[in-house]
Amino acid sequence: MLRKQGKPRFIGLEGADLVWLIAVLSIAAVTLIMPFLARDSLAGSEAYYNLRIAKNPFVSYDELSYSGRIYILSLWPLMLYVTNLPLVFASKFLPYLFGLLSVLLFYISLGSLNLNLKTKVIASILLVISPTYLYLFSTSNSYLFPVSLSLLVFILLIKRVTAASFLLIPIPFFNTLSGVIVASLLLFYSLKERYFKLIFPTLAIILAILVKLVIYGLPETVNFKTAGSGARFFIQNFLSDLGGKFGFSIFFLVLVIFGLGYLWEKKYQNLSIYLSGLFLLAVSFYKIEALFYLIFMFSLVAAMGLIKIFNLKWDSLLIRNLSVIILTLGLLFSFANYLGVFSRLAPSESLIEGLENLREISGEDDVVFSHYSKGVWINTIAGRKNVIDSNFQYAPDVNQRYIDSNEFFYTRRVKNATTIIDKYNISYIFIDGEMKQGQVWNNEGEGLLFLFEYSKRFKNVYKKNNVEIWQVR
Amino acid sequence: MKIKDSYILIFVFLLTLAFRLSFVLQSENFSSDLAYFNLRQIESIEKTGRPIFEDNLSHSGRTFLFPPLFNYIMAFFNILFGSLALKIIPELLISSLVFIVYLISREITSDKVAMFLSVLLVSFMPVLIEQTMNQLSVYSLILPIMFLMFFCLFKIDEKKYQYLYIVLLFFLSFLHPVALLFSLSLLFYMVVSSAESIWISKLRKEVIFFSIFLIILTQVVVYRNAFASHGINVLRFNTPQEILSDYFRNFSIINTMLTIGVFPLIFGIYGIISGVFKERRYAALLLSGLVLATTLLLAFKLIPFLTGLLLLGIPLTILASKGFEKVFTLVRITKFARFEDKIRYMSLIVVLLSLVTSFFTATDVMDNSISGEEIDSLVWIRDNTEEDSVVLASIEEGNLINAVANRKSIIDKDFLLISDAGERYRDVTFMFRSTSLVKALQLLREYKVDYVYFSDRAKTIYNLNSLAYTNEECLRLVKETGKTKIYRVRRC
Repeated sequence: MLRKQGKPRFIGLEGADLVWLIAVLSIAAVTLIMPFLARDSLAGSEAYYNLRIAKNPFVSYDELSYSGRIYILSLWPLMLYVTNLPLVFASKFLPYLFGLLSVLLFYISLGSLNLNLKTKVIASILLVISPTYLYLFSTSNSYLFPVSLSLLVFILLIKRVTAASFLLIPIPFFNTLSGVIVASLLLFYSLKERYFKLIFPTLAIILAILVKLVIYGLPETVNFKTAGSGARFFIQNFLSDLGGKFGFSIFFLVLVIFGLGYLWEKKYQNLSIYLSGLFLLAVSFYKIEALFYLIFMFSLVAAMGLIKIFNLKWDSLLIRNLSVIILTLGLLFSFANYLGVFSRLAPSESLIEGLENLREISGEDDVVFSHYSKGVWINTIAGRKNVIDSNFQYAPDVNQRYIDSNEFFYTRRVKNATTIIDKYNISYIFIDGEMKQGQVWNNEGEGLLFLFEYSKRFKNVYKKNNVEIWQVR
Repeated sequence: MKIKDSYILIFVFLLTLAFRLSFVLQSENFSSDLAYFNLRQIESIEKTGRPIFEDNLSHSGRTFLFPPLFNYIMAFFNILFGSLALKIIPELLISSLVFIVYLISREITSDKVAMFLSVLLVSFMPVLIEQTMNQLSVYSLILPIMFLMFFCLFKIDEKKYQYLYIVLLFFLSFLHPVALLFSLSLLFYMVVSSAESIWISKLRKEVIFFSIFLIILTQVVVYRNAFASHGINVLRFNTPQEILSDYFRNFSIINTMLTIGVFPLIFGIYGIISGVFKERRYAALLLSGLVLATTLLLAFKLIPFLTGLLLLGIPLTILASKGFEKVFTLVRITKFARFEDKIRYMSLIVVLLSLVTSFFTATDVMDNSISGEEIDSLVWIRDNTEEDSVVLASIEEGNLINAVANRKSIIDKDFLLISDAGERYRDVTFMFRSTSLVKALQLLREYKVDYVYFSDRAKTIYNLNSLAYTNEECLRLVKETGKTKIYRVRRC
């Protein structure tokens, strides 16, 4: 049903293939631009972190994060730097470019697998309207290059160009998760195809991960639960319709289930797909970013599911047509809904305005205390040191800082607050509406809010749109 | 259906309708706060053609999230027949369950007495009366539609029922999120059938999958903002922790027996065993899917308790017809066989007698309806206070403040898209229960309260006889109507 006859072609796109590729790329060009139109500022913490580091990616010590810490090399800010473009523009343009490139590579890779035109086109369209793909390629993050590179290498590996797999060695220097995933998938592939030459590049990638560990040592184990962990967080972010940053649409998953049903007709012939999918799903429970790799596989499986649904012998054509319409509407709605979610991702305009104000009223060496989720923005937008941020790996005394943060948030005693202020040399405290509505406090007058009201130690120097800045006297 | 049966059925329908109307028409007003929310939406639709989504009154300003189809339908009837339609049409709709339950029971049993027993038990089920009588409730439309859809599923091989099912499915999807329960029940039906190695026709599978897709799509479209704001908490409608235990109570057999009735519970379970596991009747399987789905949601407290019992009670009662049939069959093979007819009619009388509880339930519902005195107080607020005044009232009266007094409220029972629902609930409770004038005033000022509406309901909810901190200077009594007091919050 899905494969065409004849030898697998390499790129050899011609005729209808080329026309449909251009159509798919055009759709991708449109879908990828829409998140940028939905908001002016960058979205998320990582984009701002990369923006800041890209200004000077050759440092070995980060002065601002945690008020000073060893900088763990990441190649993505370096890539932003070498483009020689204005960094904010590069933070938007490079993801967009790699987004288009990845669609092209995905389409070609499907051709290399000898899949027919219908499957390739549907899989590519499902990919470009999926929230995970859109998030990956509309935010400046360290995953988009490894993902794109992996697709390229995959195409070359199908043609048995073993040397191409060595291109994956630098991937752990973008982020460790990508290194682990790529090494694992390479191993699955080599075992499935009995392509044992791939063991060497796999080992090289593992070595690269170990080199990173040797250079920087083992990170301190984080002993606390963050907002970005747990079953509830996983479910909410796995299903984009539940308001997660990315994830899969419910209708997309329905198609995946049908696609798996189709694959299961051939039982264990597709074992490698099942294993890879299960592996990525399991990893995504701990690091949701594993979905960035899974989306490509799932898009293909979902396409198979959609084709299967259409090719089934339905007893009622009316029900069939209505079902396909509903599924299509569901997928399109998820895409449209995601744009709304993306536009509301932090940091908000009021938060940015507050941080810009913080930059103006504070001194260069001042330390700003806030919830760890605001830490990166304090560094990048306000250009000030923070006490704690969401980059927990290799952070100095991360567990103690978390405990101290909570102590500071919830204490009503000036003496306790003063101890923490002196310990971290805090000059300003930055709070926003989210912190007052459950992220930190639930009630007015709770903990530090009580001290703000009644202690002369703190002076309010900014208050606008639920953002407040308090100076420590 | 023989002519005799249809006469009986019409008689039962008229009896049910008459029973309901005899209570409902005793009062001009409705028996729940939510009815006034619906009333306000209906009035808005009549005036502007649109319901109120962006509201500056509820919670002193919020966005509502709900499918307004029911309100549009009621607005249509209101325009055609006047305000009495809002009292009569919901009762008419819920009474139509008589016919639907009969049709479904016919698929389960051929014993006429058993069928009519189920019809009677459903029509006069206490929880059905409690949840739908005089409430302008969306369930008066949901329940007939949902069970009619079940009936259509029994006959889905016929084209006319396919079309009817699709139309009803669109209606149900846009009526209320309880449509998700319907889709879950279909899934459970498939699971049970699969477990019992019962073949499901291709057409039925297609219909079920289409139903699930459509319901999921509509709920995601309508509630997308709620999902974005509350995530998983949306399953419990963002209800504050403090009152979760009230709405999502522990599910127990005793509670179920008291609310649904002993006969439906016992005979319903017997009906499931017989209809599903022994006779493998398609109708019994489908209904048991609903029973299972509702039981699961009740056990995990994912559905309000009374709503769950309502949706559990009706299918159990229908399935009880199989239970009754089995008991009668049992009698037939015993020494009492010659008394079979007498036993059947005795059981009918016993069931009728047990319906006395329905009478008490109906009386309770009407006793709890909004009184003329309360309406007078609210109208006084409307006529004697500034338009942008904020009125503190209990959680059960928020919609009354908005709909009748046309003033801003602090809280009501709709918590979707309310980011500080828990805090509000605690603050309102504190404002009523506080013994400290200073602390109460602090909160009253924070919420910009201009008037405090202290009614009998507030006394019951907060277990008070009076506000402990009234003070001529700061909180002056400006109106007293029987048991209701209205205080003005002054600057002091």
